[in-house]
Amino acid sequence: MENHRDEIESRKSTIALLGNPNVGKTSIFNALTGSRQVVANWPGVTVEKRAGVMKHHSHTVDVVDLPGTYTLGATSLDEKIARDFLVNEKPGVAMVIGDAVNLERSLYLLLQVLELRGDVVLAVNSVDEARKAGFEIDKNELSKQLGIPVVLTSAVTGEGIEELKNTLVKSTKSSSHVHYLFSDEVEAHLRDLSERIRGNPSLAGFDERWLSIKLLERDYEVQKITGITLDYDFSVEIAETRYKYIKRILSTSVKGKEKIGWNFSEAIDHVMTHRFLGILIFLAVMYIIFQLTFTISGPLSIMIEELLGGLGRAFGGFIGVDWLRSLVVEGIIGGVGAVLVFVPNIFILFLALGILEETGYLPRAAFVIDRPMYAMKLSGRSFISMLLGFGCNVSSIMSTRSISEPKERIVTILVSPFISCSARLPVYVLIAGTFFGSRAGVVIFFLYVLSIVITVLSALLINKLFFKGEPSTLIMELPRYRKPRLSSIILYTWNKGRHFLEKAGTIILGASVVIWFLSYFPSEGAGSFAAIIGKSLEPLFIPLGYTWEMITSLVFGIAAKEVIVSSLTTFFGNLSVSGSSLGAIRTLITPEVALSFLVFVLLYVPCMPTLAVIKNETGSYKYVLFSVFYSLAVAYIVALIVRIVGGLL
Amino acid sequence: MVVPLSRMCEGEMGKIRKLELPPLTRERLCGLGFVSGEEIQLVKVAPFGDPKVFRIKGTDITLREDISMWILVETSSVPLSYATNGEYFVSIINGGMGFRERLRMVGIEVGKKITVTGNIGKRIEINANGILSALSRGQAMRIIVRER
Repeated sequence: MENHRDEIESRKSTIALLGNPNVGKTSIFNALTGSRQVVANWPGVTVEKRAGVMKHHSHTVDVVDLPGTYTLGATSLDEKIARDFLVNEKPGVAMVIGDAVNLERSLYLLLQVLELRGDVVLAVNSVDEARKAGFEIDKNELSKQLGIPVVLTSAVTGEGIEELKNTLVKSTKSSSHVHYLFSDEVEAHLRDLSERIRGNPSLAGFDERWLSIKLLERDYEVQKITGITLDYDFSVEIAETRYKYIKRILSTSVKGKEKIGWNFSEAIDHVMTHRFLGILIFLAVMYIIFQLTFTISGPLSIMIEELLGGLGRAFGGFIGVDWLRSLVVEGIIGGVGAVLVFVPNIFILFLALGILEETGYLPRAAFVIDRPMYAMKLSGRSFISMLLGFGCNVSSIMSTRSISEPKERIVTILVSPFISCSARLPVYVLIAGTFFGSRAGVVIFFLYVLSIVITVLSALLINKLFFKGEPSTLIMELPRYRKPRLSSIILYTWNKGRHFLEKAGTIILGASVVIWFLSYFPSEGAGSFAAIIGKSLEPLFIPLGYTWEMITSLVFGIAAKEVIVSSLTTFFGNLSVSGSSLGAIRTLITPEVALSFLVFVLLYVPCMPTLAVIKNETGSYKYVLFSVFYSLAVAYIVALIVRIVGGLL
Repeated sequence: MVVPLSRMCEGEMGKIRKLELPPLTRERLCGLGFVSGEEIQLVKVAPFGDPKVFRIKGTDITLREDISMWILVETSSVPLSYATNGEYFVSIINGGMGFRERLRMVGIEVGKKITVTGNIGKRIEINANGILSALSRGQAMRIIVRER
C-alpha cells in the first residue's frame, strides 16, 4: 500500500535541480533523463530552460534543470528564475547538487533552499575527486544533521546515480527549515516580521519565516511583495550565521584534510594563466581552433559538394518540366546545398568551443583577456560571449544572459553582430577563393581582424552613447579543470550545431525558393524580379561599384548570411568552393570591389534570427533599430574606404 | 594590519574584515564565501596586472581592483615596500631564480629574519644578518614579510 501511494504522488511531482555553477549539474541532469530532454526558454526571458523526463522502474517524473546559482537572492536573472520557480511552481522535490570538493559553498545554497521549503534532497557530486583529494564524506552524518536525504554521486563514474533515482522517486518527506537559529536579536526581528506577514492575507501562500529572513537581508523583490521596507540590514550577520552553522556540520561529517601542495588544477593554471605564457597560450588556442575549422573541414566539404552535385544531376535527368527542374536543381539543391557544404566547418567550431567550455579553459581565457576588455568598459566574461559569436551571433547573444551587469549585457549584445559568425565564412571562402586564389587565407584573416577592430570601437562608442562610459564589474569563478568527456562534448556540439541544420531546412530552404522564384520570373536573368530589386538599389551603391546581382544577394542575405552564397550561385552559375570554375563574376568586378563587398558582408545588417534575438534579449525595438542603422552606416563607410584604398594600391 | 584586498601581493594570505560594497555586490560575494573572518589568499595576478585571482573556501574567484579595493583584510604580512623600520620574517618571494639568487647573496631568504633600517623615498634599506643592502620599491613589492 505504502509503495502504491508513493508512486501516484511522485508521478504528479516535478523535481527541480539546483546548484552552484560548475558542480556538474548538467551531467547529473543528463544522467537522470538520458536523451528524454527538451530545451526551451523560460517564459518571458530567453534563458534556456532544460526539462526532461526521468523514468525509473515504474516511475515517471519531470525534471527541470534550473540555472546555476550561488545564492537564492535576486542579484542576477539566473537567480531570479531559480527562485521564482521554487516559490511559484512549488516543485515536488528540490534537489540541490553540491560539490564534494567544495561542500561548504554548496551548503550555503542548500541552507537558503531549506529556509524556503522542505522536501529537499542533497546530491553531493564529484565524490571520486574528493576521495582522490584525500577526504571522506559521511553521508549518514550529513543527512542526520541536515534532516534531509543525502546521496553521494559522481556523474563521471556513474556512482550513486541509481541510489539518487531511488531516493528521488520515494516520497521524500523532510521538514521545512533546518534546525539552526540566528542570533537572539535577529530571531526577535524574525518573530515580529512573521507576525506582521501573517496578518496580511495576500501573503498566505508564502513561507513567512523565509520572507522575514529576506526582509532582514533587504531583498528588493520581497520588499516589493510584502510592502515592508526596513531601515536596518542584517544581511552580513545572517550570512555569517549560515557559514558558522555549515562549519559545524562539516566538522563532524567530513573527515580527512585536503592534501597540501600542488594539485593538478593548480599546476595547469600556473602555465595557462601565466603572466606571459598565458597570453601566448590564449592566442595559440584561438589560432588552433581556426586552423582546425578550416583544414579538417576542407575535404569533408568537398565530399558534400560532390554528393550534392550528383544529386542535382540525378534529379535534373528525370524532371521533364523546365521550370520545375530549375526549381529543384538550381533553387533547392543548389541553394540549400551551398549552405550544407559548410556543415563540417560549423560542427568542428562548436566541437572546439565545447572542449574549451567542458575543460574549464573559457573562464581562464576570460581572466587572461579581462584587462584589455576592461579598457572597452566590458569584461572578460563578455569576451566569452563574443568568442561564441565566431560560431553564431545568435548563440553569442543568448549567452550574454549570464552577464549580471545589465549595461554590459546590452553593449555586448549590440556589438556581437560585428563578430564574424560562421555563416559569413562561406561568403568569404567563395569570393576570396575566386578573386585572391592562394592569398585567400590572408584576405579572410584580414576580415577577422577587421571584425575585432570594429567590435572594439563600437563597444567604446555604444558605451559612451548609452551608458556614459561607466565600466562594469567582474565576479567570476575559475572552476577546477575537468577531463573533457566525449559524451557531453558530442551533446554540446549537436545541440548547438543542430540550430544551423534547422536553419538550412527552414529559413534557407524558404529563402532559396523565394530567391529562385524572384530570379526565374518573369524571365530568367536580367529581366527577373530580383534584377529589378537590385537595379533599383544600384544608384545607392555606385560609389561601391557593386553589380545588381551583388546588391540583390545582400538584400536576400538579411534572411541569413549564407543565403548570399546561394543567391550568388543562382545568379552567376557554377561558383564553387574549390574555385575551379569561377563563373561570370570575375569579369564584372575588380578585386578591390570584391574585397569591399566582403567587408560590407561582414559589417552590414545582422541576419533576421539575430535581430529577433536582440529584440528578445533587450526587450526593446529601440536597440533593434539602432543595430540595423548603425551597422548599415558602418558597413557603407568602411567598405567605401576599402574600395578607395584598394584602388590606389 | 588592515589593508584593502587589492594591496595584497601574490601568495599573501589575510582574513576578511569588512566589505564596503553596495548590497547587491555584497550579497553575491557572500554567496561565494566572502564573510568576515574568512581566510583569503591572493593566488594570481592577470597578465596585465588586473584582475586578480583570490582563493577563498577552496575556490578561485576572479575580482577586479574596483571591487577588491573595497574589501578590507587583516594581514600580518606586508610587502616589504610598505614595511616601517623594525624586524621582520621573510615569508614569500615572488620572482624567478635570478631574483631569488640575488636576494640570497644579500642574506634575504624565505624564513630568514631581516631588519628594515630605512624606508624613505625610492629605496628600502635592509640589514639581513649583518649584510646591508638597499632594494628598489619595485623589488621590495615582490618580497612579503611577516611582522615578528
